[in-house]
Amino acid sequence: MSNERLERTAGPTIVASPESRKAPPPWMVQATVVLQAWKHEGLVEALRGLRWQRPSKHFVLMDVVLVLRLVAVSNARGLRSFYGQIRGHEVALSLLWGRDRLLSRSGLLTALRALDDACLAQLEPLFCPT
Amino acid sequence: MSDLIAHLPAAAFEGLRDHAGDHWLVVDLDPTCMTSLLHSEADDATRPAPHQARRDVAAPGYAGRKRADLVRTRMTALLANAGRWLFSFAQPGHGQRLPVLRRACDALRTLHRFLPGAPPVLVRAAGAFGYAVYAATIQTAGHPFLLRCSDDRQVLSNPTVQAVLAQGSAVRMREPGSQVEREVFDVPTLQWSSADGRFSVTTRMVVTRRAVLASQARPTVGHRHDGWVYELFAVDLPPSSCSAAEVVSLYLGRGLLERALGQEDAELPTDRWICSVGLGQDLFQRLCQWVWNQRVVLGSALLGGVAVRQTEWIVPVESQAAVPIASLPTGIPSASAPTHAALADAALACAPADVALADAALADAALADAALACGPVEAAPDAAAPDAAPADDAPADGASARYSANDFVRDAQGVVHCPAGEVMRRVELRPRRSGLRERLEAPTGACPPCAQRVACRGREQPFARARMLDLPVHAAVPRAAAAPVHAATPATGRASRAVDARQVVDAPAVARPPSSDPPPWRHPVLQWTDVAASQARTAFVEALAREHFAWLPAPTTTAATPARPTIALTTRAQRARRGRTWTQLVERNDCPPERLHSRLVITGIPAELAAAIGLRTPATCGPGHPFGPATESSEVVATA
Repeated sequence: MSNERLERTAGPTIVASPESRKAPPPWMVQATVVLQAWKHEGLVEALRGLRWQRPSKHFVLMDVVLVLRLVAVSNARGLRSFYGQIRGHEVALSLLWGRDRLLSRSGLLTALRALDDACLAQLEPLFCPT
Repeated sequence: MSDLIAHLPAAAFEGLRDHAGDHWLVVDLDPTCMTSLLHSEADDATRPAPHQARRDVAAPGYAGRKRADLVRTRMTALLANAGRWLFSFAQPGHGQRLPVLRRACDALRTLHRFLPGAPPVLVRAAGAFGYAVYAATIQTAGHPFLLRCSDDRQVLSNPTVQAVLAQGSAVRMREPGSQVEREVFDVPTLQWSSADGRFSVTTRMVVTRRAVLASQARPTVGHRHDGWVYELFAVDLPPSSCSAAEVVSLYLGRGLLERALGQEDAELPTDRWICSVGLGQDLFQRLCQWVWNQRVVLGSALLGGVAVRQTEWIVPVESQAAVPIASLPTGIPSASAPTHAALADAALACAPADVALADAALADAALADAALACGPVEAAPDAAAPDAAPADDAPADGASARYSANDFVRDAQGVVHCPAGEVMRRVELRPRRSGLRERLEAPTGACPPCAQRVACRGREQPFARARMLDLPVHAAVPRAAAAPVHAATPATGRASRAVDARQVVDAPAVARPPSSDPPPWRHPVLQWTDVAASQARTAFVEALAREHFAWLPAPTTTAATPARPTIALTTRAQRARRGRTWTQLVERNDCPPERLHSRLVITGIPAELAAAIGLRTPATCGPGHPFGPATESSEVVATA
């Protein structure tokens, strides 16, 4: 009797593993398409030439824009939340624009703090309602 | 900018076609704000003072319904016919509106320069820009405008406007689906000057008049006078382009922008704080707008083309016999609501010819009677006023009798009055376990001079805010149920009299100018053309959400690592310790060649979209592809 009950409630075997393999966030495909669209239109190449500098520091606008666009697509509540979501998938996203790695959170904040009007003015001609 | 031309269908450039056959691209300007709450700490000398980084990019200001200490205002522009953002300029606090408006006008001129053949831009803006100085700025930049005029004092006291108002209106309009009925007055030419006389602009002014709604204690927009709300609309288009009723209707179509801002709040983190640096935040907000626009374009590609909508902008109007207005507004706000005695006096003092006015005054008197007859408001058991101390906790110095919710009176129309007779305005709705509750507040500045302030609020001085009260939401009194009172309201009284006296032609009808000499119209109706941007954007986001994403790294090669050179090769630049070139700095983060052969596989991409953005599909990958012949998957190669 008890064996029959066990057979009736039996399900698939669950195998647990200590290794962490997080599923990508649900907006990854959208981010891929958006980044690819920019690349296809040649905007990434245009961004490659935009940079600025501070004493003892150099910044490349392309890396900053890459992260900020991903934050926009992810609709994350903030940078901390965004970096938590993409943990383990940074390399795949940075590859889309041919970059080795994404800017870290502190690196991004440093770059944003060092922005100036001249740098934004460089971006102005690229900004269009496409 | 060339991308805009490439991606916008030609029909989108038709924009608004007026009666004269001219086309306009409508751009909505709106100042919106992002807010921040400050973390307050106790004044403790043993700890360092907290650092409020956002004080550099935001400043105290009016935050609307948001709870905030600091405000950062940004002006956004939406190309209404294309559903796309154009730009966003932000400033701390409320900022300086004039320089930002000049910058926006310059940007719009640039836009027009990049779009040869596109129709000129019509700037549509909210009441924040409704002063002569802003209208003159827009006009100087070469753009026509459609603004809600906020300069009641200057405009309503103008003799030209008063002369038009005194004749009464022969046109009455009602927006589709709206209960608000407006009388429309058209002032074709008005010299509109700022209060200091420094700025002046010649414009057309449309004035509307509507009765105060029974459910509205105080109108949120417009100038209230004698039971009516007057609203002003300044427009730079002549009567031959659109009628006065159409001007009002076109302005009210500005709700599209508010909807877009609401959708932006839900879909993008544009108004969230990314950093405490103004320029960094500006960059992020522009990129968010860029993502919005790109979603429209990619969504259109996904749907196989963007849908273009053409709408005949018909405004239902009624013609009526013009009833002269005896009591003209002057634009100066009244100090307080008229008392019962004053209303009754006004009714008696009215000349017999001003029957409508007498009706209106007597109606208000009847309402006042009804209010006096009504009992105190019913406070729910948990509806105690937040600042009304319970009797047990009251101080024993005679201030124990602080007014509770029971001392506030709700009249027949649902309007709550404080014991001193001030109207309590609803400032917030709060969902609670016990149901929806409304927070009411007395008028600003009403408490300090009030004779009952101690009885109402105790010894608390000075008052940081006016008296507030929390109550359950009052169910709206149906019109039929309140027939004896509501039948005599100004609106109803005037309406019934108008039905008797006027010669109703035919209603509803297409808008026509109120004058007896209609301008020659090439096209009988306005035509509004826009693209279904919201549909495309939503389709793109929903289609790609939760689709499969996989990254297949390049197989690692097991080639033997070369032996370490015994002699390190250095260049002359390295020997001279020269810094890296810009190219080297950019290349420092370039992807290493061995990673370039990895693959990203994404699914759910239709062939049209894949072709539009240059993605490779299994069909283009050739036979023997490891992902099979499925047509719904695409492959992104990092080197593509």
